[in-house]
Amino acid sequence: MPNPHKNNPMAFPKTRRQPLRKWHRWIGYISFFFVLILCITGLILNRTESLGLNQITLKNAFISSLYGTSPNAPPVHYFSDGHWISWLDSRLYLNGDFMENNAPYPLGATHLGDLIIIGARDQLSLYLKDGSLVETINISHLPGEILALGKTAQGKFYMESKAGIFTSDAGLTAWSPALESLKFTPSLARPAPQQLDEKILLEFQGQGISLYRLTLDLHSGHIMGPYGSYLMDFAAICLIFLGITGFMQRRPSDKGRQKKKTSR
Amino acid sequence: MYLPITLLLSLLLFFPFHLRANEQTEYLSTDTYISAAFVQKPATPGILWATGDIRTDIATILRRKKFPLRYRYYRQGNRTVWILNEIGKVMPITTGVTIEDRKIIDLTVLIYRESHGSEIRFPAYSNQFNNVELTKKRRLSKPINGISGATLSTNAMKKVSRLALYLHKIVMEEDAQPAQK
Repeated sequence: MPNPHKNNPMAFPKTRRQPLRKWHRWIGYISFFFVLILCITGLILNRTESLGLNQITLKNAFISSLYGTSPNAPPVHYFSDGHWISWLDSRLYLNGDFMENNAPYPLGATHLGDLIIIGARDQLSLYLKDGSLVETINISHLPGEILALGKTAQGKFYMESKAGIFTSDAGLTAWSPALESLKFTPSLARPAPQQLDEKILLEFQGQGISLYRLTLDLHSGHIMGPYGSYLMDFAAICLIFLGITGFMQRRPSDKGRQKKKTSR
Repeated sequence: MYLPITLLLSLLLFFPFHLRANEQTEYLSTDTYISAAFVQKPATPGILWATGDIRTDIATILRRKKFPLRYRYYRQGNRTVWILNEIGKVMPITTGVTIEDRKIIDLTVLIYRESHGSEIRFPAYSNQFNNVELTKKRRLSKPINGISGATLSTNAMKKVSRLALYLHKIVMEEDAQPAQK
């Protein structure tokens, strides 16, 4: 049977076509998943307004964690003198209002006169009741690492360290070992009202992620971290490659074959 | 058929989705620093309240409105030691500053919490602050060379040194006032 492409200059030589086909196939397999995301999200993005993507807000722990807006641990709350002192991912809150950033994990919170005292392992932070910082007392000014803190029955502030239990003066400048006969009430974390929890979480992670933003970040690859966009670039390049190699592998006989089929 | 799937999975597994590098490094404990500055650590610290004009001046030095209402220091004669926290980029840098006769005699980074710029802890940088005074305009008397890649940390160090010199001056002035009376 005579070869119909023998004298056709458009036909790609069969010897070159075979490795190209192999490449076409492998690149297709590798990029399939990303190209699929690229295409589906692209289709959705084209209908942003009609689908109302901007109006839909997602509040999901997994999505929040992808955006880094999910807290690493649930909030911790202490109640003292009618005030809620809360801590969430290095942020301190007083009655649900943001007070301070970069705060270490609190081991207790109590009040002394007008002062609110928040203790961490290696520091005591003093605040006024309006939330303004009075001082951060470093471990060098304390009798040791804090294990617990609270108030004595006489209303004095006390802290427990590895070296023992100490009470201080009103200004928290001098520390003296506490008498064994003193009764202590340690400050303990307790569950806060749900409204407070929600207020803190809202301040921490905002209103949530809009579906438009999520789709756009999936499309651009930004959801996969700083290198995600390169991954989607790779998928797009693969798509171009597949298009070109697919075109190069086109058999000129296809037209002839179809004609033959129809004539039969 | 298995090769592309393996490739895809390995690509996803080793992909650095979340890069977090914020670790606290303590170079010297505050207690050791204070003890080293004096023959013996003073029993009780002094307290300086930042109120009135002092508050306005500190706000000018730190270029922010939020800062502590009081500062703690240790003193022996004309020498004072200040342990101050100042934010570099996002995290506070704990620095010890020793001042004598209104001149810095030592500045040491005690705790560094940022991911970049810890080079400020080296004496090659911190020794620049030795013998630096505060001018009438509350600026440093000598220019301090920065470190490329640690601009914010070096700026924080300049603020800390200016603040410590200013607070030292206030302490000395408060001390001199009753004597004059």
